[in-house]
Amino acid sequence: MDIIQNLWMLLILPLFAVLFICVPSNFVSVPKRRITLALTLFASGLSFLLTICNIHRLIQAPGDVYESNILFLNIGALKVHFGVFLDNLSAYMLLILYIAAICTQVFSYKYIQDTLEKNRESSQDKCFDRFFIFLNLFVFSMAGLILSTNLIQFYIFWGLLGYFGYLLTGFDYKNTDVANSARKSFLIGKIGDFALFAALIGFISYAINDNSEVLYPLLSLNDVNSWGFLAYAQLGAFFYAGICLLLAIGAFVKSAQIPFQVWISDAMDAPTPVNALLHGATMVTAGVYLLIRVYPALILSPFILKVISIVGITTALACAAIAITQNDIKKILAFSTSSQLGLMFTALGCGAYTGCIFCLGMHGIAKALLFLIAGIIINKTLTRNIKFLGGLRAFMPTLAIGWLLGALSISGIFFSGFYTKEMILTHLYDTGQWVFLGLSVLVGILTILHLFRGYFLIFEGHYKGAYDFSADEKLPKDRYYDGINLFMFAPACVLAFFTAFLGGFMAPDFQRYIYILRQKFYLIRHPDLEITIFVISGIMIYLMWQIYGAKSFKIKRVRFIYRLFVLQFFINRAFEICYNVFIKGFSKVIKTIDKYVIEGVAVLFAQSARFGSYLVLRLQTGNINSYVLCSFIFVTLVLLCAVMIYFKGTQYGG
Amino acid sequence: MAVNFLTSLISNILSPFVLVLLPVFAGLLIYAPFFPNSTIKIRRYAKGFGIFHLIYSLLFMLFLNPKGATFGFSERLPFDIIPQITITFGLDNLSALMCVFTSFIVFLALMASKSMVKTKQRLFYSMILLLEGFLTGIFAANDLFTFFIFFSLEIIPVYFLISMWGGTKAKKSALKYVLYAFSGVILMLISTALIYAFALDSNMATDFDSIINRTVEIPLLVQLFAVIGFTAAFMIRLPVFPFHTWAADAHTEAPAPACMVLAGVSLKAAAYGIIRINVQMFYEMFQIIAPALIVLGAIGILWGSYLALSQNDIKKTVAYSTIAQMGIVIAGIASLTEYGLGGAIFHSIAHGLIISGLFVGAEIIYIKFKTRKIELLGGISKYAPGLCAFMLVFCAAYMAIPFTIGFPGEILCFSGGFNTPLLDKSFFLTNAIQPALLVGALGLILSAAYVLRLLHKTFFGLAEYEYGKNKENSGLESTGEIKLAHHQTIVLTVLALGIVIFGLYPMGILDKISTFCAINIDTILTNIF
Repeated sequence: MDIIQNLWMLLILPLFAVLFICVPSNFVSVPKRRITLALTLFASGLSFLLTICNIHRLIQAPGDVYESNILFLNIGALKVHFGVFLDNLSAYMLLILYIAAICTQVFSYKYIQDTLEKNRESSQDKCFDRFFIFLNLFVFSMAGLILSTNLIQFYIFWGLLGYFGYLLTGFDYKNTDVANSARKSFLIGKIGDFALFAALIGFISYAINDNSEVLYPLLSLNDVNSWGFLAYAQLGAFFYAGICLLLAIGAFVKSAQIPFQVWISDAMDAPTPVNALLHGATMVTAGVYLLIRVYPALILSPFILKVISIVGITTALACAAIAITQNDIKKILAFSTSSQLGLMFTALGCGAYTGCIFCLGMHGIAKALLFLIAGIIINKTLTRNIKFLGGLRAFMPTLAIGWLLGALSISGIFFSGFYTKEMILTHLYDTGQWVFLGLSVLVGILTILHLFRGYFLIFEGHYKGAYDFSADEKLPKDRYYDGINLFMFAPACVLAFFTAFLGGFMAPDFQRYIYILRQKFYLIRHPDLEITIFVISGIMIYLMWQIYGAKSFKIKRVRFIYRLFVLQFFINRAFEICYNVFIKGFSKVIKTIDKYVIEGVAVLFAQSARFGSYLVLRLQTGNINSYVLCSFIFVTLVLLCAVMIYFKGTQYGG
Repeated sequence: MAVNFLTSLISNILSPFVLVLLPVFAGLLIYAPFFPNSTIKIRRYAKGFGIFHLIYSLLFMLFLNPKGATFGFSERLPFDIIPQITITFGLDNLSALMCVFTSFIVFLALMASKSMVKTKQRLFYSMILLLEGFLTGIFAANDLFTFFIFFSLEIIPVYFLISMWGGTKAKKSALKYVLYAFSGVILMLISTALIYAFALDSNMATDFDSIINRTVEIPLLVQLFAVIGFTAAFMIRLPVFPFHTWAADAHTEAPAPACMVLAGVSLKAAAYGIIRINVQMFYEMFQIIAPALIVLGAIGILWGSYLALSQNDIKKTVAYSTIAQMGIVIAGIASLTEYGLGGAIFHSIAHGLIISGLFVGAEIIYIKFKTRKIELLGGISKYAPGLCAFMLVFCAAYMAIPFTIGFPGEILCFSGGFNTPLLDKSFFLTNAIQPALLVGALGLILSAAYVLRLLHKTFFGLAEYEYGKNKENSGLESTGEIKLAHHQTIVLTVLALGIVIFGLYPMGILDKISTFCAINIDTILTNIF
């Protein structure tokens, strides 16, 4: 099949799956859920195969790009195109998307059923279908985002992503807390939408003034260089930096950077497979992906690159530290995601373009693995608090191995993550950005701290939970997958496989396929750097084992600092205050002004008319004498006027 | 041969006079002594007529040259009502589109009235049909006098619809509407008279085409007074920010089908008026107040959104948010760019569809749960999952989520306003356009805030409302769900389909008006910029 048709198929397949899921299936004997899962898996699986074909094609002809456009909006000088665009970067992103999507879809089959049974849902099949419809639509919008040909299409799918993310997060909408946190995370996400919208309007307004035929399609992502230069020339450094800052803010919100990391911890109320797909592997990467795509335009404004790396490293440090203090297993992973994305922003700001992209995908897969493991644990023990867990290694040894795999990979010690972190750190080392290098290593240390604190508290020590593992009759029979349903266990295994080997498989050639012009290639390894990091990591893991595993010494908490981290530096509180002041408070004030000032003026007009009529009314007394008096006064006045006019201009008059 | 014959036959039976006056006669016919006295028959008759009128107006759109710029099907009354003042009708692409839209919304309103209007049905259906006729008259008018006549006639049925089938404060709200609307109409009367005095004085024909072609000959002073009167009238009826207080009351009190027509079409008649008269004819003076209008529009977006946020009534929230959406429309029109103008027209149609859906939804909630207060509801998606699904689509469109109809209009209007040629000139408030629009774009966040507040406090969360306790709520099924009536499902489905289809394929609407926008903006740009 033609590669362009392949790409359009990627967009159409999930929509077809949705269409067929909506069709009632009373006439077949297979349970509806199986059909739903099969349709979804068919769509994602076929997409995965098509992506593999495309990657094969791209490897044969390196440097080729494929693009196809149709007109979405066309009025006057404004032409918005809609299409598909494949280069090495988007092929890589698609690969990650479909690996994560297939695994989470299989995982959701059992997980959602269990959740629905737990909630005693009345119409389980409908809820199940609803979940898979949203999931398919989400995959559709993510694929569209990755395949965007231009910035406007990117914004379109960006908005869709937010909406379906909201619907998936609020899946259990009958629970008021879940519904409220979905609403909160959507509203904070809207700040990013606003920033991106404003930046878009800024770019559009110059691009239309300019000769738009050069820029086919408008704000093309294939040709960021040319419109970046044109915009820079037209807007001047200051306004250009402003627009780029808006773009960056949009990316920060979507990727949960400080101070917008609030939404990702709220989004943890979603079902865990949703977390794995959205907040581990795909949706949060959209912000980084945006900046990667417009990177050639960002280079023109070094100030913005500095801002991006500073915000990134701040988030990386702060969120990693916050994650250490969290007791909620999912929130540890959420803040860990934020922190890792911050590291990617740092890398991008410092110019480690390839390393950033590599890290994006590998981290996504490893984080999805950790989320799935967390999902299995939550499903089994019904608690998210790691203080009530512990000693799970005895019951579920494979999960412990999986967690270790993911943790080692994300910390950059072994497996896929090692290659990505190495690429970033080598770049920082070579270009001599010592401050960022030191801070990145510190981030690595903090990552080890929170992930291994999680490991030791969940899997080592004594079990403190309420769920009785010894009563689980499944457990002794099939030791190989720890009494876990195969629908949940297999996807985790697949992800673990990819976490272990995908990075090593891709690493040797990665720079050859994904790079940016004038980029330095880093082929030399620095054993000194690597050995230092290995040693530090080893020490840190040993330390965590001493603290949380062996409990040989206790750490002393400084209460104030501890609270500061637990409460996320009061940013959450600040957002609540902002909501109360800028949205609730303002609306009350404006309601009052509207009622008493604006309506008051209108009432004043109406009342003055009534007052006039009252005056006239009072003249109608019915008393002959007063009528005569009135007419006398009137006649006198008229005569007086007549006399004055008559004598005007003569010597008698004024 | 046969096709040619058919074409000529159809184009011969297409008469704008019939298009306008047929609904009026159909409305009056209900009172004829021979008309059956059964409410079912009256309703069926009205619905049947509605669908006939929809098809008839669709024919106009089909047989109009999409690239044509002048009025087609022009007809004039053979005699003058007042000496030298004629009544003419004609349709160009914009008016044909608006006529189709009018009869579409009115048809849906007639469908929806089955369960929403239970009293004085004879009067109700005749009033809706009269309103349809008058609104079509506004869109199909081809001279200022006809436009004025229908613009003021429209007030009468709206007054009766609000006051007779409204809520508790209906009389007051209806009076308020009439007072506001008539003060606008009086200003418009002065301006119309002024233009006619000039035109008769200088032997100018008074239909739209000739005024548009010879607008340069009109002295600036006349244009200035005309623009002031017309703009004030349209600002009151749109409504633009300081003149909005009538809108919320009227929309809250009116019954849902009347709300659909009032918010869906009647407000758009004012937007149409601004485009037809201010932008097309008196642009030389309109450009002076255009920056101020954009700024007012931006203020209106925030003001309306904040007001919508502070309401406790579903219908009130929806009604106030209309002010915000109309702010976007006015910013698009006043930007004097092709895409701004096209976006404004698109957004007014989009808003008509969305708001109809929301009003129907609100009314269904009111019928089933006997309250519209947000704090008394909560978690009702348990009882009405179907309605919840429809409302999710409407709310997504209201938040301008892409691939729904709310999105293209918004991006077109904002980019138009940001890129307006007015920036080269130095009129009052020109420098404020871009900052104001940037702040107005915050309405994106606020719209999400009020829409989600509405959704979450009524549909989501724990089911606080105990439904089905008393026997009178008999729509309950064995599963504990409320089943939507067939006509309600049809109305909601048609609206939701329209929202999604034109969100995916906005060119379906924009193609009809792109030539209109291109020609008019070209004229403006060549003449004054």
